[in-house]
Amino acid sequence: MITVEMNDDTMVVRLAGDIDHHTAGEIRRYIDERAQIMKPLVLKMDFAAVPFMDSSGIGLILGRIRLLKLWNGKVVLMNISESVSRMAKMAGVFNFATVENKAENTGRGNYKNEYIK
Amino acid sequence: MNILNEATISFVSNSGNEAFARASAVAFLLSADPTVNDISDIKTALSEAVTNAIIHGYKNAKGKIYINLKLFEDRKLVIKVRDKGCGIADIKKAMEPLFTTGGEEQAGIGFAVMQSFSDSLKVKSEINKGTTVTIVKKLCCKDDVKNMTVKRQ
Repeated sequence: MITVEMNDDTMVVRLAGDIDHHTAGEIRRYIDERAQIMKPLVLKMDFAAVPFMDSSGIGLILGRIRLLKLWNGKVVLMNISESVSRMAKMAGVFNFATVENKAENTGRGNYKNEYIK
Repeated sequence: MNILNEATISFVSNSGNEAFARASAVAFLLSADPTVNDISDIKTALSEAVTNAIIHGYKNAKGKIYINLKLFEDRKLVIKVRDKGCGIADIKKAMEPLFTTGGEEQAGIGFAVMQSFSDSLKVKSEINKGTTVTIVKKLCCKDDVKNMTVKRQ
């Protein structure tokens, strides 16, 4: 199940389950419906609960980078695995998105600290 | 080299069957006691091949996809993914990273991922007859992994 959280200008999307061509479409619609209304300046996509992802997930990331660019927003990828990182490199994702891989961020509820500045 | 085990599965080109194909391959592999990394690489490469067959081979229309899995004595795994779809006009072009006919939501790295996550990749295609993708990967032995760990210490 995907969850979305909005903190100031940051939207955190916690993805869950396998991401392939079959599931990517539904995830895309879910994110876009909310992002287009709230227009966050930062979209954090958290992959901590994604056990498997193929290049459809890379397409999903690239599409969201393109969407956020419409209002000068940025995409941040959280907790991506080694194999996702390999695919992202091939597609040049890291030219457009930054990565936050924190071991302590694998559980829920640890994220709040990031918003206290 | 002798074949240790072989399985063939076929299914309709529903995108929901991408997960079925991956799970079947993992079930087939389990007898070989594969490493977590090998399972992950094989699932990824296979998922790319099946997705290509669905989106590009059959252009999201209904058709049958055939997967043949062969495990050899030397732990070499050969996976063939075959469709009877439209075929690929220019295989070289199709295999170029970032080339896609699939629109904006496709990354265009399917073949590059299959290559990177396996030891060898072969694509055979005929227009209006279909495409066969052959993925070969030598499975890591658990002993290899143990030796690597010991060396590192």
